[in-house]
Amino acid sequence: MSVATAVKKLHDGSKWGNPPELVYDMSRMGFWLFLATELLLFAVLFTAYAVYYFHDPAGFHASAHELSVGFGAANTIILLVSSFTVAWSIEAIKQGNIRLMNILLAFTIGCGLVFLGNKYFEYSHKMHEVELEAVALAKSPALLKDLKEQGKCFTNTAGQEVCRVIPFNVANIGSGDPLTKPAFASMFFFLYFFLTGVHGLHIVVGVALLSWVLIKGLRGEFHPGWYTPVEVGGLYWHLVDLIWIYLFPLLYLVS
Amino acid sequence: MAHAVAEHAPVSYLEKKGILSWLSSVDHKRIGILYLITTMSAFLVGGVFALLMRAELARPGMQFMDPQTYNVLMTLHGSIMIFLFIVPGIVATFGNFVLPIQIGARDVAFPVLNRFSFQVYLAGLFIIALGLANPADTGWTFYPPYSSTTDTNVITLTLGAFVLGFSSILTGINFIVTVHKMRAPGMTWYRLPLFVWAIYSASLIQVIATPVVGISLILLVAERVFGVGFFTPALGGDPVLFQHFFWFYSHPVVYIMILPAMGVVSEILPVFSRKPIFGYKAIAWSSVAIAAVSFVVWAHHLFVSSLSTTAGIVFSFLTFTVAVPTAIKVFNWLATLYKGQIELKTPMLYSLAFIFLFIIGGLTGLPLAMIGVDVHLHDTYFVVGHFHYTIQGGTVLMMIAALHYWWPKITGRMYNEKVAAFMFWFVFIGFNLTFIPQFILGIGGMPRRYADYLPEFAPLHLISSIGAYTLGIGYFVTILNLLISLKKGEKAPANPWRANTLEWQIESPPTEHNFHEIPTITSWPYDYGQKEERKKESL
Ligand code: HEM
Ligand SMILES: [Cu+2]
Repeated sequence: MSVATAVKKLHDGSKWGNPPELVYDMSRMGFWLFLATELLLFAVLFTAYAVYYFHDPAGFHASAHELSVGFGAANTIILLVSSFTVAWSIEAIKQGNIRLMNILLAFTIGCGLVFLGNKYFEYSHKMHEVELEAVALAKSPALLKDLKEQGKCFTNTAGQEVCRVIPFNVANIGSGDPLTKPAFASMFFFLYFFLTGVHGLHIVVGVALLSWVLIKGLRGEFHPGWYTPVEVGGLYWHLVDLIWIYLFPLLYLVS
Repeated sequence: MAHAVAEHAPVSYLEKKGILSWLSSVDHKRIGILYLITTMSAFLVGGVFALLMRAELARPGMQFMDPQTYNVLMTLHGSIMIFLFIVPGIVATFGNFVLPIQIGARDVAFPVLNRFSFQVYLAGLFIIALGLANPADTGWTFYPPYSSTTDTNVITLTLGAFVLGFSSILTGINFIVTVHKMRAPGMTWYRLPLFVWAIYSASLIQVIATPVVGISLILLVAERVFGVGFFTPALGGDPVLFQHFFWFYSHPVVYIMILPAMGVVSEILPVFSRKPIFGYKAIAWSSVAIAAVSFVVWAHHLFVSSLSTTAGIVFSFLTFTVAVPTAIKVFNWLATLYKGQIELKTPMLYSLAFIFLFIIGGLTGLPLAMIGVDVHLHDTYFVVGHFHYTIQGGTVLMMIAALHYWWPKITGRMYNEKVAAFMFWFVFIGFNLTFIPQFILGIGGMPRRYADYLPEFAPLHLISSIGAYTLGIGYFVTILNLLISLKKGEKAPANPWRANTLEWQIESPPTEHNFHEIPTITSWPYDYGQKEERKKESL
């Protein structure tokens, strides 16, 4: 059916009787626009990353070293696989294979949950005190004294005075005196937590979205003539995956 | 198929009563009206704050308030006017009401999403209201480091702005898809009313620019919550980075405001001068051009914030180029008026005022775009004068014009033309009286956002305050006049202005489904005063 006749049909019918072809068409277009806004949102964060990276490349390298490449790589693989399965589920419903679609959707959701589990371990590990090469701390005797009294400092193998601090609270210590800050170490960790946090939120939304699609799928609402929600859910999942593909090297591999 | 619909007796979309039937409605017309009520209420509140500020500024020294109260009023005035009133402004109100009808559709592409946009808008309004216990004092621009150190409620205001931005993105997406996919048969792009082109361009900006400011505001919130110095120089952050992000949105946003206003002008001028619009394609494409160029000029707000000379020159040049598509529009409007049979009804009065005031607004943008001159003028009352000429002289005046133009269609009532036209002069004279002195004050060195000033600025400030109260009376009575017409007004005919766009070819007020039968479009809507019309008139 051409768009013009579809529109005609839509208009002459009741408000809710939009023909599926038109709904499919419109939903896809609307969703692509929405994905564009998501990309722009992350573009801002990538820009900020670039700006602060060039302020202090060495600090970023050193900080990135603190992250576990193993965890990151595992999550990358999980997301790549899940992107594949969600694409396959769309193919499945196009062929009318509802059972396969449901299985693949469930598998994708499972991948999302494993990803989140991994992140949880990684976060709790990182939130726990991380050793920072906080040489600059020595510039502020008062802060150093505070930390020492709390038993957080020791001399590392290189003979430097190093203190353990929670990374994204570093900036908070020492009431805004710039000298109390270990260069941009905290900027990296702030970006790390912010970027992966916002991305993690997208995974949560993606899992919720796909679960909603799966429930509809289990109820048998989809067939080769109507699978717009599956397609939209899949598109969203690809975006979440795509963003991670950029986050992984920027955060884990820059060291 | 057409019979199925025609069998229903025509029922006005206003028929169902009760607050719930309004809040639960997905009818684009009702949603447009909900936006109209909320945005105009915001306008009223923001306007009262402005009048309070002007009262304080009427004389040098502090009379009614302390400087902190002034800072809060200034911040609330700016934020309410920008985020709650003028950005949703014409797009969400008349865009919602008129755009689907003008393209020959029964509703927008995603009616439920449309209702959701409004609910998100309400949520944003609510979050901002939560902060009123200790309102922010940063100005609407939220520049760090001050915004991360002040102990006022910056978080609620920025979160509110973020949520409102989300609403604006969803509306933008909805309209773009609607224009692409829901046009009636025969409604080609070049047969679209220019209002549709304008809303379409504004929607594009809404979708592209808003996410940028959204996430930047969240970064600011995170900075405050976690105490990270992301934008605070004392903690290693870069405050200029925030300014870049902020203006990457907030410059284009001025075109979200002005493009729809230009769209309304392009509708009203041909109707009230009985002439085809001159240069249709030029006007249509200049909207898109403005939308495009608006993304590469943001740093003209940063000429004094450590922008390199090279970058400054580039951005200065790019800013000048915005004036080109803008001037193209102005020339086409003037050519439309040329030798027309001009009928000075209220919407036309406002449209002519728009052209006059917007030229002043645009021209005063040019000196601001020159780096050397801007170093002197930046952060003075000259800038305040400039943007009020564009935003208020431009968008607010056209919002009022649109209200009068579409009032008969929306409400089914005619307003009192004499009162409306008389009040126009209060608005027009009051406006110029308020803001012309501000250009002179600014050149003289009066800084913006100050609660007090040196005695030599006193006379001009007094004139400005008198102007502001004249303007306030003008707006107030104008709106009162419209409201009174709801009870007292004559019943409006379907097409009181003899206009050709589709919304005037259906009942006033329209039925729930807009059209009994979807029209098939065979021509553009601007054949005013042409042979056929004259033939009809002489019969
Ligand atoms: C010919 C077109 C225009 C040019 C060349 C222009 C140029 C400029 C420049 C260079 C500034 C920065 C001044 C400074 O802060 O030192 C500025 C400020 C501003 N302009 Fe325009 N402008 C134009 C049109 C508009 C329009 C159409 C609007 C609104 C509808 C607008 C709204 C504003 C606002 C709100 C500000 C001040 C923002 C703030 O600092 O709070 N401008 N303009
Ligand atoms: Cu600008």
